[in-house]
Amino acid sequence: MMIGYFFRRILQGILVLIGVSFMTFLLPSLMGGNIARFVLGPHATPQALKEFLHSHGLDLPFYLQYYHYMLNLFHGNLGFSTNPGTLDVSVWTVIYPYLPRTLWLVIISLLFSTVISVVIGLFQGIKRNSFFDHSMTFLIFLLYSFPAFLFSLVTIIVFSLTLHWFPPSIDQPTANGFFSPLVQMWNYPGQFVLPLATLTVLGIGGLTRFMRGSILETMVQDYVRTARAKGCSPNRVLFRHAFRNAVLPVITILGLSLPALFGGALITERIFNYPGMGQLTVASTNVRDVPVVMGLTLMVTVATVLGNLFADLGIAIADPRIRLTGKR
Amino acid sequence: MTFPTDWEAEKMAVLDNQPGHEAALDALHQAANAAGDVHGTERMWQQMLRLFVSNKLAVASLVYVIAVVLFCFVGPFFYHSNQTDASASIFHVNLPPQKGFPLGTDYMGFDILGRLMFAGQSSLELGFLAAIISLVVGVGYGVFSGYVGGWIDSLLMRFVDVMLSIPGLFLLLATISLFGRSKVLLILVLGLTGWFGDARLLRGEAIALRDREFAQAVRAMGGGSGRIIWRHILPNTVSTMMTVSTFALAGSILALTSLGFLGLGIPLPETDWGTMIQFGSDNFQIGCWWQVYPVCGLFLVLIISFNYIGDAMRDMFEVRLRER
Repeated sequence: MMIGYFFRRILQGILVLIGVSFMTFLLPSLMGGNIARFVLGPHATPQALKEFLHSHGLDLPFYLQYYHYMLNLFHGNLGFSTNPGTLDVSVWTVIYPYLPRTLWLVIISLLFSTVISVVIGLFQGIKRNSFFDHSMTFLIFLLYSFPAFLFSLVTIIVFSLTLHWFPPSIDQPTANGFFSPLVQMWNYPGQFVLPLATLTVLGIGGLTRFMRGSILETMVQDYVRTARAKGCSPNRVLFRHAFRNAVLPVITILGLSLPALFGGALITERIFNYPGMGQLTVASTNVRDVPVVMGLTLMVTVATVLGNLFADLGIAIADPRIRLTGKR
Repeated sequence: MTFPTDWEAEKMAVLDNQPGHEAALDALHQAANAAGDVHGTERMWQQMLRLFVSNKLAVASLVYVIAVVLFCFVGPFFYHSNQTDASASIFHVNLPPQKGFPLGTDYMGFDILGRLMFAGQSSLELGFLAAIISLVVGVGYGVFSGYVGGWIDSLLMRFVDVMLSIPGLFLLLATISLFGRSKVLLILVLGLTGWFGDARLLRGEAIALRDREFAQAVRAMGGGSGRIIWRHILPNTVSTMMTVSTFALAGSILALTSLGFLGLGIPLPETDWGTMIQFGSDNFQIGCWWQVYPVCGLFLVLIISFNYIGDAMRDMFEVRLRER
């Protein structure tokens, strides 16, 4: 049963990825032949335009172009940059150093926001309608409405320009390895406080609301009443019976919050001048380096889909109801 | 009430009158109202209005939104300032608030108070039009998909799954890198990349409604799918649609402002709030606080108000269902 569920869920993820790769293929091809004009500039001769299209295989029929695109993709070839600075460098070479920086930023802030919102939501759920509950609900609502760029702007104005506690930007990284962002965070934690706080707050809003609802829902279940009736102490009821069941659905929400988090990372990187995927996407959009933007979009979506997949598989391992029936 | 004398239409109308089908009933009431019969109309709207007015913060939020709209569109008639001629503005760059410039000037010498209105016009217009596009596409797509069902529904929803797994801001940037960013293109891009969540929501509603008794009865009497969707499913999703449209409006204005902040907003000579915030925050370090605080405050309270109205509306519809 469990293997069947895993298999179905993985297949579903692969299908989504194929769909996304089709979109990153389709969007640029909507431009048709204009892409040559775009790369070569307004003064290119018709001959040069034709040669460009031919050499990049853009004069082939649609299905052949897609076939070549997918073939290249399976060989890890995402195309070549059209940015004058990195002209004809492969997209993967351009974007690889930027990937782990964003990834670690997102993963670490996700950990923080999970812990914080589970704790807040739990206490809100227990002390329902108390002063704490109401003030937290209001605070969470405010944070939830705060756009990422305004939140980082406010934190910079308060904590770095006024109080001088933290620097307003992150030093340019010197290493490109997969774990080097972690090393940098370890060496210069002060620089990462504000960006990580922005991303953490971004995640807290939705998660806390969900956790509060989840614990309220669990506390009225029959098994909680049974536990109370058989004489469990309130703490044991809460942590052994209610909490475990309430916290499970949060895992799913974690996966679903990834797209928003990557969007937030894009803005945060821009503000704190940290060269991650977001920074590169904005720079490439400015010079209209389509292959790199598409490559980045594909990569960030792969990360999202994988995150969702792991969340679903994790919850299936933890909760037998899901792997047996396929749904709750 | 007056019904068309046509036998089929009369039967349909009687069916529309079934209990537990309040929205369609109200549509009928409204039709009757137009025909001159005022008795017993607007029950649903009155109830909703009462619930909304009882929420003081929601009313305050609504008042604020209306005030901002008036400020941006009516304000320029009373407060004249140069917002387009850069050669004339160049003589008073980065001035602090003073006589003649109540909120100071920006890096190009434009008056900030007038700039707030000028930028607000484009931000609100674009946000509004984009929200309409995303709402129409999302509702149409979702209701169609849910109503039709079967493999078409599966296929359409897989597409939504795919698009929803691409982070929104990346999708926006990808489309902008392809098509550029004139005003019209920005409206289209914002509208056409924002509807996937709405479609999923409305699909769920359509599935829940399509096999209800009233829909089956219309079908049994020979009413077409168009009639079921238009007269029976859509009116029943009106509460969802109102909530969704509030969030859609907030979402598209926020997305536009984020783009502006990233330096990808509406190109000069026009501008938007996000672009203002971007240039203002660049100048904040040299002490130009007046270029940051007014626009950020105005915008932040606007987004909070929209979210609050959306939340209040969702609660309102839930309470309405409970009271019933």
